[in-house]
Amino acid sequence: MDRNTEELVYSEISTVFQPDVVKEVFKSKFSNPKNRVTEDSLELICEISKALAMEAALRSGKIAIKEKNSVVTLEHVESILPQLMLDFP
Amino acid sequence: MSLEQKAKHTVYSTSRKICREVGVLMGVEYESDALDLIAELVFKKLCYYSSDLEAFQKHAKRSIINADDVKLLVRRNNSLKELVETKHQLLLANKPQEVSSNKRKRKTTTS
Repeated sequence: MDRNTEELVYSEISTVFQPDVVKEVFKSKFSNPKNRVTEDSLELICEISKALAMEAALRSGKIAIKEKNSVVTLEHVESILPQLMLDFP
Repeated sequence: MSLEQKAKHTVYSTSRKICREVGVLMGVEYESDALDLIAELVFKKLCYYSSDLEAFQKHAKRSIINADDVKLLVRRNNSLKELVETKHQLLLANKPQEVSSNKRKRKTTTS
């Protein structure tokens, strides 16, 4: 898969994270309950999370295909984790 | 189940769903362990983002997290930065008409 097909895949995925859900997670983690989050930034965080999930799926899928496997196992995901952790903040 | 746990489970199921969709497009299947790992990763990362963003807004002497904080979060990854910026532009372009009506609605419901 080259760069263009990856971008195509990105636009194909219809599932998105719901801003309300992210807001709830954030609220539970805040040290100060008075902190708030704007709608815009929630949308942006949803986008980042989607990119993270997709990138994990894409990269591990690629490894599996390279090994001529049609099932992605835990080992495949584990092998892409270090680089993924470096790429995402 | 508390709201917090519900949110966690929704994040898990959403990321599993995204993975399955990617799998369909690539023609591969994911073991349930692999899906769990990716879901866990996404959730953990969300938690880290929340603490990072909280620190950023505190440093800027605000009590509200805005889009600039998110941009600061993704500053090191150029393609991610690009993605966030285009999305933000899109949001800003769609905003003006909706904002006033939304605010009014919320005020009436809360009061």
